[in-house]
Amino acid sequence: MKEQLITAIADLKEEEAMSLVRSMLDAGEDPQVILDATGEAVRTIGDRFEAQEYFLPELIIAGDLMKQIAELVKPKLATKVTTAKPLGKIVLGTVAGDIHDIGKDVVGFMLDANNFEVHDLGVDVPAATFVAKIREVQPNIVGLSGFLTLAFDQMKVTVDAIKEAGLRDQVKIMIGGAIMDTNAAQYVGADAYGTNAAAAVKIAKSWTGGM
Amino acid sequence: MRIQRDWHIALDEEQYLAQAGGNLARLMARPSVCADWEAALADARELIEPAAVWDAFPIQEFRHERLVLADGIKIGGGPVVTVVAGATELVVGVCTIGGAISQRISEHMRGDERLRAMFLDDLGSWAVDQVRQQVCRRIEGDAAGRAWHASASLSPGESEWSVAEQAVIFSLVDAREIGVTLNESMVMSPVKSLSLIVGIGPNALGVEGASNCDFCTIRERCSYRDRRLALQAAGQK
Repeated sequence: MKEQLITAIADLKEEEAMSLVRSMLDAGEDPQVILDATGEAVRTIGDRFEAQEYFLPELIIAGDLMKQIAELVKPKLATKVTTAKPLGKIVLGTVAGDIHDIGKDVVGFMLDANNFEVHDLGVDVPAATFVAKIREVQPNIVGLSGFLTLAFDQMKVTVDAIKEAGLRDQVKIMIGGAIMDTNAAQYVGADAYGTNAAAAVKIAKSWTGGM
Repeated sequence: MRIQRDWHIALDEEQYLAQAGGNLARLMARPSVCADWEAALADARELIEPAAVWDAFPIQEFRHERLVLADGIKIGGGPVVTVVAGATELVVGVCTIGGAISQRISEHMRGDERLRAMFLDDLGSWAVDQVRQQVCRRIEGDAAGRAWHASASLSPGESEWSVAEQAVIFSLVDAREIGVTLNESMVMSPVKSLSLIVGIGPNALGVEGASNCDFCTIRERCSYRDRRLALQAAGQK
């Protein structure tokens, strides 16, 4: 049934997926198995996005579906203290000078649906605001979003500010946006880059042992 | 300084679906997706308030990679000098579709209506680009009326032209007249706004007959460009 669920989520068959989740829970299936299935479905969805079979609307539909699944599953997990704990904390924002928010928002709620604690700072976020939020919530991960190549410089400014604040060793940093690549990540001083929300979830899980 | 608010915004559903790419047309078969789309389209048609302000400034000289305007103000960097080479005046403008649409997008995001927010955001970006294109056609038309040439337009942030130059544009035209302001990190409010420059003059200019897309770093994956070309091909602009 787990394989069926993975396929149903990846194919965005909402009713079928929700019906499977209910059946699995009713049958006493470990809720973690269901969350693992969503994680595997995210990988497939990410692959389809990379292959341009899926686009932003599909990511949003997938995220909504995962959120619905998480809402059903989380109460069952609540009794298991160790597994109910979030996989990690993420401070997320679009860097200063950039107001693009849709992609960043999708990343935020996909991470939330995948059991991360997300602190979304919004758009046009100055480096100092990132630093202050890192000090406040002590995240495992910082996500810097930007839409245009011009965002690269501000991402670098932000990473440098995190370094100067002595916080760089405490966090992993990912940059996100459709134009991000290895060169951009190196220039900015980030640990990884993602071009879509599914990739961001994959990276975050790999850093927190969730996948 | 010229201000105009009666721009025609064509939010054509067929054009949108044809150019949106991917599976959107197929996804529309889902009642929830279709409902979000129709609601977003209705929102956009209700909330878009197009406006533009622009003015022309004599160019005193081209100095290295910058233009020096008659009052000593300098503007340039990126591809500016190349594009407007030979111009005797620089037209500087700001256009917007107002802030109501962005407020509605935020409301939808807060209300977990993400798909509707995404459609509305996309429609808003498409609309403000349509205002820009019409402003450019107006500038070209005015130049042609004087038997002058008009260069391609450029917008800070879309090419290798620094977004910091937006401060110069805002010092030249009073965009507050159409409700647009600039913050310290060079972000315009309302966010669905664009600033632009176009060179004009009696002689052939550096780059003519091109669009801002030709200098844009995201042109290969920009659906607005595809839609614009489709609209032009259909003679609907």
